Amino acid sequence: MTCTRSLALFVIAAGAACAGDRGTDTAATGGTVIIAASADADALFPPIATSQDALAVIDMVYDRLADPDSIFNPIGTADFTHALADGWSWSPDSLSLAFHIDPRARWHDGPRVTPSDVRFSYAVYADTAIGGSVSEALTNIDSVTVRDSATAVVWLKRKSPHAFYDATYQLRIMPEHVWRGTPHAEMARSPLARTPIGSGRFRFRRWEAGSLIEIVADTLNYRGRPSLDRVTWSITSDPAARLARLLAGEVDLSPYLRAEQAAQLSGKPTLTTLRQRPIQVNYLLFNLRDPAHPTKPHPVLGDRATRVAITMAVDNSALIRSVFNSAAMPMLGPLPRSVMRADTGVRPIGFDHAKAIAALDAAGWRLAPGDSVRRKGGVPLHFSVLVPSSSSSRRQLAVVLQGMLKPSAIQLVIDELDPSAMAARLRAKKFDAGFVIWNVDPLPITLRQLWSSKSAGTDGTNYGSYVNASLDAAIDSADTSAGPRGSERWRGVYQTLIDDAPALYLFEPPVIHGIHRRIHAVGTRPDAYWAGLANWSIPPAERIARDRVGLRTAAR
Amino acid sequence: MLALIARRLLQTLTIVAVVCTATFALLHAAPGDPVDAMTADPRMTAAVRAHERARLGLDQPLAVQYVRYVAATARGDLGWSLTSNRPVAEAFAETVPRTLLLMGVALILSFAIGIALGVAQAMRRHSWFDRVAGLVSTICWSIPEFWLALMVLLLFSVELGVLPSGGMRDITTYEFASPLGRVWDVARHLLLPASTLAILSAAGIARFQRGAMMDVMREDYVRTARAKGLDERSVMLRHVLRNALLPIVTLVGLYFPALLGGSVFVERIFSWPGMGELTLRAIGSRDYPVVLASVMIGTVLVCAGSLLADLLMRWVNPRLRSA
Repeated sequence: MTCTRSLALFVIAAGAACAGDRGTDTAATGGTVIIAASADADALFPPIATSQDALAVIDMVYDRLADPDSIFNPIGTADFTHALADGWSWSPDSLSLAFHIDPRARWHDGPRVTPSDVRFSYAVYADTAIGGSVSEALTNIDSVTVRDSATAVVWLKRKSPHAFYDATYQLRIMPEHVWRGTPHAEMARSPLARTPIGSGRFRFRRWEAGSLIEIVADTLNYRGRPSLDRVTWSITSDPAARLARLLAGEVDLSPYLRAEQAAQLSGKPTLTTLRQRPIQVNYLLFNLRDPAHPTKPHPVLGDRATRVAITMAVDNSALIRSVFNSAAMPMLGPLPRSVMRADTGVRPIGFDHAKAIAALDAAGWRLAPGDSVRRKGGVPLHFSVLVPSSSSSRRQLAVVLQGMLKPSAIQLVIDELDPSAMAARLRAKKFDAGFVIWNVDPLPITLRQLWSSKSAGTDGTNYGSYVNASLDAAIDSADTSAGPRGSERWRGVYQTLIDDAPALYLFEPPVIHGIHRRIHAVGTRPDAYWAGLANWSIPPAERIARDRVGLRTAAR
Repeated sequence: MLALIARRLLQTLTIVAVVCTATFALLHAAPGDPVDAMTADPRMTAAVRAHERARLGLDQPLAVQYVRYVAATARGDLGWSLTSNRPVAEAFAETVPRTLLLMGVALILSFAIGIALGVAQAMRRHSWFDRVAGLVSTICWSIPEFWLALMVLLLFSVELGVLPSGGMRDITTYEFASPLGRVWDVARHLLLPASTLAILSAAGIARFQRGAMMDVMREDYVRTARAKGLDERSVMLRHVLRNALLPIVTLVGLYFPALLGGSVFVERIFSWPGMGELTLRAIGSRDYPVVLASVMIGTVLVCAGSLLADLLMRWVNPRLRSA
């Protein structure tokens, strides 16, 4: 009877939500946040999940050994906070890290978290039979052993300034007792992969495929109960519909708004924006090899002087302003500013039309009277650019860029392609130039994957085939150097990548989320707007009816 | 009747086989594959991609992949969704009923509105009402469904705030509601997407209905009915409408595929977790098993719609039955 009455009262209270009334609850904790997710999660199994929303859920349900704080500095340990490990110590040779597991830590189904779970998690992550690309990020970990009932030891292959990050960032600790008996190759397809059990401050509650994913507060969590009661990701694929749902008050957070969408929030008293530092590189990649004859240099872009002249002919600031207004920032070099050692002291190739013309003339590209395109030995100064048809901003950028190069008599042809078709063309190196986006780790060593000679082979991601042996050596040298010497060496790497112009470094995109004002969002990180979700709160006086649902679940 | 059904089932099987084979070939002919469509992650090296391709069986010759696909489908195994990491059959078992609910309600609404409007236009033929209704029908017939869906969303959810903007049910309150409350909740969420689909289809049906009514009105038996002294309302409803409905019945079969196609965009705008939304996502990420299953189910639904129209025709027209 009591249960029925409380449910009836709840339904009445929930009905009042439509009227948007404010409640009178005074509890310090409470509240519901509904997030408009752009796509359903691909998986809730940490080693293979890649979609942003899946990673958000995983980060809330599972724990790392240590978490990077909002500075997101991967060097050293100063900018990491305790998570599953309540302490750690380095071996004298800096080749192993002992993590002491918090004795209070419990899995959501009851058992204590043990060092054996850490060893098990590493074994799963490192096994390529699982699938996914995370194993590539764990290559500096040699093994994980259990020292005693409270200590796991991570053994590293080599010393590195970012060894602590290598050992902790990718690895979410999973419960061995839950997965015992499931072969690694079958884990991703196991029903357990859809009902995660972790030790994080939120528990998984439900996943209705295509509709929603919900997590609720773990009230007895060893790190403290989260302020919010529940967080729900409501799948809303269409960007315009996501904004409409935010404006209609049906969702509280619409992540990754376009710049023009963010502008629509101004003047809405209940909504505001949450900004995040970007950790993405956006550039126009030049193919330095001839796509038709890969052994030969590209007839236009294979020449460094020509690439530098093209770079000088582009007013990057104006180009970006034309699409993003003031929301995006021009890239200073090959990495975003938020990568801690991306040095702002480097000298970019600036826009200078007169110098660009002179450089093109000097490189042998002459403009004949009456001709609209420069030529050298009969070859026109002409190249095509691959543009993903799914990105309206890149399509606009391509058109503006085409116009910018025209006064210098450089002909640009826009080749719009479906994203996966474009990816296939890039990997096959069948292109002249292309708009490329990479979500990068906060480490300069990412440049090895993007620009090293080794990556220029058929199995690498250096699609433009930029090869520079001295750069390879400089990257190796910088990666093993710490302190001011390391910074100086990285600065040299950045400057080489600017001066050789293997790409036109474009912009750091605006990362703007629309959010309801009643939510006090704290602790965003460049890689995760949700990083501080367990500490987000809604003051009692500002709660609306759906915030008062609490942790109740319907009788089934 | 049974012979007709058996013949049509055989035809359906042939059509499904041809359509799925063509789709399989076209999907693999298109540049890129599911592994290419994976994230912008520089760690996704060629070695990792090759491993993924081998794991998904994409490294096998096309003929081998096709034989495996046919053999699995024949066993009732639609495969494993590469993007949602679950059996394709499970994904469609959840989404097809939702799409059928949306399409069914839209179909009923569109025929109810279309027939009513067509009859009203025919009864007031060449009046200002007929002209305005004709103009509105033409405009609605020409509007792209995604645009109409966005406008409806902005008006009724954002500006007026009277109807939910998306999803199939209220995230917070649905699970606590009574059975009747749950039905009401789904109905509220269904109203905007179903109406959007219905408005577009109703416009065409109204034009067909008006034309059919005008044709029947010229028949001798209508003149005879009037000569017998029946009032105009009785003539229209008992003699004209009943006969003018016959060609409209065939439209059920024709509108089924149109609604199925339209629902793809409408489901996306209204976040309706149906088959269209699942398919659209699968196409973007080259999720071959889901796309193939979607085409197969879509083909079966269209053939079923066509069969339904034939059966309805036979039911309402005794001449066809005897033939």
